[in-house]
Amino acid sequence: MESATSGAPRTGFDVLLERAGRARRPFPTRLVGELGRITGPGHVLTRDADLAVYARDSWTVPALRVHHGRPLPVADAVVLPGDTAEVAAVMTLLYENDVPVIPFGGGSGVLGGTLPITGGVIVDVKRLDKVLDINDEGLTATAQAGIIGTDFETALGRAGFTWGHFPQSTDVGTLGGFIVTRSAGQFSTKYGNIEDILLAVEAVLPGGAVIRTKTTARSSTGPDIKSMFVGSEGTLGIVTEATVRIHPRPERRDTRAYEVEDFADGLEIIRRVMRTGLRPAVIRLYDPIESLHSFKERVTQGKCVIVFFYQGLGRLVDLEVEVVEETVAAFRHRKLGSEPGWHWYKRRNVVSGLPEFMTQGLVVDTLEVAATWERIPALYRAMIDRMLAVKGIVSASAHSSHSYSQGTNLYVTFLAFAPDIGTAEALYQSIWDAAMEACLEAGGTIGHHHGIGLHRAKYMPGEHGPALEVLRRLRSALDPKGLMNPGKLFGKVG
Amino acid sequence: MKFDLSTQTHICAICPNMCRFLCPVAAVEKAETVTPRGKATITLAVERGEIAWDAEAASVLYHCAGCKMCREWCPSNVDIPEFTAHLRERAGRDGLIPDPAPGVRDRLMRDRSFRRPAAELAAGLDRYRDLLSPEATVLYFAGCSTATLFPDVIGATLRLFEAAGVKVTMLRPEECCGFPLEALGYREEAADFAAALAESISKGGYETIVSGCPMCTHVMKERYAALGVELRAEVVHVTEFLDRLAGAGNLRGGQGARPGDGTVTYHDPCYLGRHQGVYDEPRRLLTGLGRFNLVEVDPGRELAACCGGAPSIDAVLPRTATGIGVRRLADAARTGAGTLVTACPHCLEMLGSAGDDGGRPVVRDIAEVLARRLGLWPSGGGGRG
Ligand SMILES: Cc1cc2nc3c(=O)[nH]c(=O)nc-3n(C[C@H](O)[C@H](O)[C@H](O)COP(=O)(O)OP(=O)(O)OC[C@H]3O[C@@H](n4cnc5c(N)ncnc54)[C@H](O)[C@@H]3O)c2cc1C
Ligand code: SF4
Ligand code: SF4
Repeated sequence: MESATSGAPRTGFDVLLERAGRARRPFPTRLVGELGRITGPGHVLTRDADLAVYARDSWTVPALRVHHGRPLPVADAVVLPGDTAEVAAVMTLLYENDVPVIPFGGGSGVLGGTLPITGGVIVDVKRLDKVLDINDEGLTATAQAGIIGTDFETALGRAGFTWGHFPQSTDVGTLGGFIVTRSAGQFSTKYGNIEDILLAVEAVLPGGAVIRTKTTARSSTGPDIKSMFVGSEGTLGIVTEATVRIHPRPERRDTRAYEVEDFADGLEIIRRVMRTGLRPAVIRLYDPIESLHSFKERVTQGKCVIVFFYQGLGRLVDLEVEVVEETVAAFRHRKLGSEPGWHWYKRRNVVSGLPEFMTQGLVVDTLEVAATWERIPALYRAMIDRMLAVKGIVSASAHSSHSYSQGTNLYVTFLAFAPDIGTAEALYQSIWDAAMEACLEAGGTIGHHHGIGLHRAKYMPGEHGPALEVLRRLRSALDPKGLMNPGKLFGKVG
Repeated sequence: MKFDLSTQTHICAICPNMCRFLCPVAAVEKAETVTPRGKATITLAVERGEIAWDAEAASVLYHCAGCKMCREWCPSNVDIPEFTAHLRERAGRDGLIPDPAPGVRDRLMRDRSFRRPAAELAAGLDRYRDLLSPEATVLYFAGCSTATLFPDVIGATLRLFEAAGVKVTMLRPEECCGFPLEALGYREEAADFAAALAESISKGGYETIVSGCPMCTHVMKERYAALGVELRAEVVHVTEFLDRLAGAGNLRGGQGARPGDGTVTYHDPCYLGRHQGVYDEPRRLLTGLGRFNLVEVDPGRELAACCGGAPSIDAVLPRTATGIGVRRLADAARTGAGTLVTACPHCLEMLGSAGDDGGRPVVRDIAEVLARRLGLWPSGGGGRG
């Protein structure tokens, strides 16, 4: 059995399985030559080895396929342009020749957003890696879209700033990727998500036109054009540059952790803290399974850990610590001090457990949803229960890691036992279906920060209903030939 | 974790490429193919016969400096340089080693040395004869890069040994240690050089081999056994040896040097730091014996970026190697120190030539700066280099 979705509507996932392993179509050598003339021949890759590596991002399904030695669809070529003009020339050439274009950043996307399911040319933007401007007075920074998150932050740090946007994949993903997947950083409770941080974009539209939006503190000039690229996942064009908000580096950092009776108490504490208007940089609440997994002997079995991480102006940090202590005091709790928070901070980007589990015959994945406060407790129970009802699942657990005055997210991790690829893919799909259905029924949004990619596209009609038509029309207006990242975001493959 | 190619390639091929930002080759070349995960993916695909094992596939494994940064970072202890070494060796057996490496091999086999014919180098070493004691049990192995490019370093090092009262001798001719061949995948040829050296060592009855070249000490310490060669002598880098002498009170700070006088920065060579774990010795020598004011490069020590100078990359992809060097030089320049000290002739060569001259610190070998600091060099005869 190759797929659990036979009979279901034809989605990107079906197409992936269908096309995997098909012989590569011949790709005109003329086009390879022309791409090489634009970027220099060394920046056009067509070797089997290159195409095999570019056949995936960091989504679990291709990882499973690689692990089990199953094929994946490959692109016809990969091109690495060196600047915006080269991106534009590449886009013009490919559009004129009806070649699908798959933008590629760091390949850290976890939903198959860069998978070349219809063939075509992958446009890797990582050679666009320069920091172009750091504006102290206006507190803005401009960089090219292919810069790796950590490289950008290092450059800002050396100048005395931070951009405050640290997805756990900051060492892998790119500025452009963070924008177009609508990402959230681990410190988002203080600094905001990418849509709050982004001030302007430069992008190359399908066909090759270059546009740039204005950098300003705010404007009232019609629908916000830069925002159309936030979450566009390579379907509306290629982002080549961006201007973002920056902040002076924090004066002080501090952290406190508490053990609370249960997940509901923890959620209520966060809700009350967020209502004060204060914004600790990070608030993480783990359910009992994840508390034990993450903090081991520090926590009593069955209880929940909540970690607050503060940074910024020293006096503000003091105030936040004080207000949180007061809020927590109203609940049964045990103080765990600052060690768990520093432990989290030190290991915050370590994910080695995931590949290690997978090599042991387990399927592991994470999914993130969100809702308003009044819905969260029921949403949590419904998702976990529905996922645990799928035969073959080993565990499902969650934490909350991005909070707002109005609500929070739930980041769910599941583990299932699946020794062979057929079982793995079927089980994977069933668990996701259970989770997404439960989420929609409980009034949650199906994605908090990973975006849609290939895999989640099938749930988009359920998420947006008729409003999805707006996105479809926007897309066909900008990309009448449907060549930009086919199969992603909207699920229909042309 | 014991190295197990199969488990490690699987883990790495499905990791989200978490260490890619530290890989110097990926940082310069940008393509996913050359990231650590990319190399693991190819290794896995090749081992399983999913992609053809041909010159194209083999060439991917040469986009690695062997800098061990990924190994240092990896929470799963995956060792990419071991994958690349494994496949480079296979490429060697199958005649798939890419250009210009075969030319490097041919030259080396002919000249018995990587840089210049061993016989020519031997003639150049004559001037140090007065500083050598043929009966010594300590062998100073200069290494062909030092002998060719930085002969002053040999004189300075010998002067330091002399000042410490240590008798040393040298091999003449001194042939290649085999590192470039081993690193490029020419196992048999490397083993041939290793065996020749091992024989000279046993014949001479040397107990200790000291070299200022981390590639030489690395291959002798860490690779000879896998090449089937046993070296019956302790192998140490010059910094380890001098640090012992200084620690035992046999080498003392020079009269002229005042504490904190003179600011230097130090670049950790990959093959000395991450490969051999030598981080503290050069620092102790600089601040203790040399009484320099040492400002650290960021990043330094375990996460010190590669300079691209190792023949494992420089001999095959010189443009990438120089790109790596330019980045590292910028790290060093940010310290503001006028002098960049390092402890490897390959680093010296790369950092002394990559990038623009403007703003570049003066790049010096550690033995040379110490000998100068102690007033032992260049005065005192023994050759000017
Ligand atoms: C271990 C791990 C942790 C993660 N943690 C977080 C987290 O904390 N928060 C979070 O939000 N996400 C997280 N992610 C998800 C992922 O890192 C993000 O989705 C990230 O934004 C993707 O960036 P990228 O550059 O790697 O994009 P890619 O994976 O290369 O591409 C993602 C999508 O964007 C498109 N694209 C990429 N660059 C451009 C461009 N310049 N112009 C137009 N389209 C483009 C691609 O076509 C694709 O559709 C995590 C992923 C991993 C593996
Ligand atoms: S070396 Fe380790 S951290 Fe780097 S990609 Fe491989 S498994 Fe991941
Ligand atoms: S050893 Fe260095 S160059 Fe090679 S893959 Fe690892 S980090 Fe990259």
